[in-house]
Amino acid sequence: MMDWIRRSFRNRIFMTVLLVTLVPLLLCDVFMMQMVVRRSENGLDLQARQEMEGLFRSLDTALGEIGSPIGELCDSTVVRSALRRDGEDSRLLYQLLYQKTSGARPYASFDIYDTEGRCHYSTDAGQTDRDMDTGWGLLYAAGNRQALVYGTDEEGGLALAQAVRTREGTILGYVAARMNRDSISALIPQVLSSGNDFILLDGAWRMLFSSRGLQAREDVQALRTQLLRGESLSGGGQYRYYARLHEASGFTLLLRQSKVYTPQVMDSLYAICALMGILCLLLSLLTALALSRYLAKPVKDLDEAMGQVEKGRLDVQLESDRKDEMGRLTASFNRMTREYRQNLARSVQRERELNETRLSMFQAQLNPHFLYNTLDSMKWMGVTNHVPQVAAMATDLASLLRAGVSGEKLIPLEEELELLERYLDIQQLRFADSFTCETDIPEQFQHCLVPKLVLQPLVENAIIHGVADREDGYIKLSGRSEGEDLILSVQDNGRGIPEEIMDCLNAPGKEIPGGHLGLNNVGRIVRLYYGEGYGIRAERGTDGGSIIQLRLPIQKKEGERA
Amino acid sequence: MKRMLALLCAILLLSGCGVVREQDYAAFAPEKSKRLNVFTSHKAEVYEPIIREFEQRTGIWVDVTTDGTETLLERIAAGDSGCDLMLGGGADSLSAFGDYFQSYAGTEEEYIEAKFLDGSDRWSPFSALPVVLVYNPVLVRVNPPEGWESLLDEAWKGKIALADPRVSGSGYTAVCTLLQALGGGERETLARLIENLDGTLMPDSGDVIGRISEGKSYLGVTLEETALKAIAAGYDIAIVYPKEGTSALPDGAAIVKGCSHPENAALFIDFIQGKDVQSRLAEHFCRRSVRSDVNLPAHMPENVKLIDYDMEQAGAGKTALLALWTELMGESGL
Repeated sequence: MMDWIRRSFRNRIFMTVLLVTLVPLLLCDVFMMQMVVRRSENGLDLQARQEMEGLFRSLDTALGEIGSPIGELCDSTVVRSALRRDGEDSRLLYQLLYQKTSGARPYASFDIYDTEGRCHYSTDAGQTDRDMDTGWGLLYAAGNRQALVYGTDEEGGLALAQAVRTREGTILGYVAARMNRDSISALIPQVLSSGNDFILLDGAWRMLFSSRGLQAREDVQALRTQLLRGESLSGGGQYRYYARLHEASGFTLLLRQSKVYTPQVMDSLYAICALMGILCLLLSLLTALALSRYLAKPVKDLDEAMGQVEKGRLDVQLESDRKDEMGRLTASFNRMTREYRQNLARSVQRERELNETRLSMFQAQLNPHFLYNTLDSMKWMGVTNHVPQVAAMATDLASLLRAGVSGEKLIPLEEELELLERYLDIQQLRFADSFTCETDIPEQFQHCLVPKLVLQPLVENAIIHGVADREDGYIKLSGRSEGEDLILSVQDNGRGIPEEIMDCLNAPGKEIPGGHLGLNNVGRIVRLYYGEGYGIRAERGTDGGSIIQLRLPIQKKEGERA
Repeated sequence: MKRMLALLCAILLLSGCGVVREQDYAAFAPEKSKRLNVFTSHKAEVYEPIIREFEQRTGIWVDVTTDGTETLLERIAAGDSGCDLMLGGGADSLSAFGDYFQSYAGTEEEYIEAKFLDGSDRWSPFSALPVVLVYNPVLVRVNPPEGWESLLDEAWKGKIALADPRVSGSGYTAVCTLLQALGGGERETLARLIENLDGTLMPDSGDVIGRISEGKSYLGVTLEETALKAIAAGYDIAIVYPKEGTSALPDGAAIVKGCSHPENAALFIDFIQGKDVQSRLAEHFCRRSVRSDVNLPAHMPENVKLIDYDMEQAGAGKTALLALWTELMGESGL
């Protein structure tokens, strides 16, 4: 991954844009969600705790208000004697009953039972058949305990009872109070907010009362099972539960609060975040792609163009209509290559001019007229003294000299051949006819223009380095056309050209070591005149010796057609 | 890159602070010694008041699992059910799974009638359930059925509702009781009964009452408890205690061998066999007490004639009897 990023400028831009867009978004997402959820949950938690406190207090107060008159009635001698003497003093007892229970009567009714569970006195006149079983439930519990007991009545309300005992501990009867469902409900609305439910459980977590009615039974059953298995009550579900034990009664108060952020809500929140993340990812991908392409393309193009230039292609130009730094950089590159190209052309031109100057200087070093006149004098001396060879040699040399110093740079091939003839005459005299030279150039090339004295160095090379020390030297000069080009070749049957010199000859631009100035010059002159495609080539002949080929464009004097 | 990841993690951790911590509910759960796991096949109306009273008296939390008798017994047999006590199931079913139960002779056993006790105390009787005949008093005005013999009487042919003994436990008990009460050739008696049923068989003993009150059948066989509850619920049916005598198979409770809370299970058995629970059986649950010192309410006749029902034989001969039943059903073209 890191390698991939480092490999390219574009990848860097891409990754940067991606990170810069995605990371803040994700951070914001997570932060916002966490903040909102935490704040809301903390608020709800506080609210639930306050409600629980309120519920606990109102229940505690109610149970206290109901419990204390029961205790007082149990300790009252009026109640004891009434229960002992079954039915007497009822007026006095009722007076006491109403007086003691005046505070609690709005939400509870009080009854007094005998040892058989028959109801003798009640604050609730409308209710009949209030008898209770003393061998079961509330009165059984009251009979077996010295204190106030808490339980349920048959209709699902709360019931409190205590046994009336003699000082010796014999049970005379029971005082019980009932608090029906409506009365319990009346305790709740002041403190309970909507959506929350209040459930009252007994010591073994069986439901005594629920603000939702009996529907809560199954929930309570499930909660109880969870509790017995040691599982969390609130985790994972739709509700959060708050439990508090009321020590005196053994009841447990349970507050059920609907979670705002249930797993479903959280799931959809996460889904939205993920969706936003994906959207932003797409957006930043597009932006990153576009931006990285916009920034990196000219750089890449420049990089490629630079590579081309390094390989020698100087005509590379980049297209760009941008006005920014990248545009200027591209323009600079174009300018740079253009100038480089021009400089190169200029330096070639200068080199050529220098060569010409050098040539002129060579030519000017000896005063040609002085040499020419001297040779003329030598010719006449040879005639006068009857040495015709000297006369011929001087004449030929004079002709060569005249051609050498004349201002013409290009001459027709026939004139060049004429000059070559002169040169050969001289060499024949020097080497005492030890070689023969044959010329085979078709008539149509006779008028072709060639740089003057280009053949002479080739033939000289063939003589000096080829056939000089042989008795039967043979040199053949031939010409043919190859497309638009004229190929002049000089073949000899001499020793052949050594390998390294052959390589140098065939690689233009390389100087041949150890002399051979003539061949070098011919090659250079032809290339200067006609360009890189032209020049000399050397190869080995089929029967020993070597072949030097000179390639020239077919060029005729003005007015003559090729 | 790594530094950035670390930063991100730190931020996430920080933002995770301030989570609303859930209340520790463990304080509300009972200690291990205050628990009891009960499997029961009883209906909620039977077990709930008893279990709540037990919880209030002892402070023990009872965890109840309900299902069919056979299913629960098989779970216990499979082991690792977590069950401490099986509540419910007829004496025959409990005896069949006797190997999985622990012997327990309760503190109340001296008050229990001997005929209801298991010889080796593998289970403890809870209530007695006599098999009775029921009929529709609107349709049968004269000559009501008197006993098991009536089921073989051709006068009732096709008018009898009986639960299929191959499916229903009480149906099987009914057929066994009939055979033992009448005596004589088993095959012959069964053949006459099947002939008289004329192809009518209920899938469940609960369907007997409905069929009779709808008038589709005139008389049937069911448990006294079912019949009494139906009458209390307003069904127009009449009960006949067979004159030849009937069976009153107890159902019971049993402590699972190797359970986690055997002491609490024993307390529970003592509680349900105690006088407080037993004296409420008839009035609240339409069941007969297994104690000798409990008086029956007015609507339950005191001196029901009981035969000396051979439970061993009924249990051991079940497969053979049901095979015979199927064979005879086939012979009569059913």
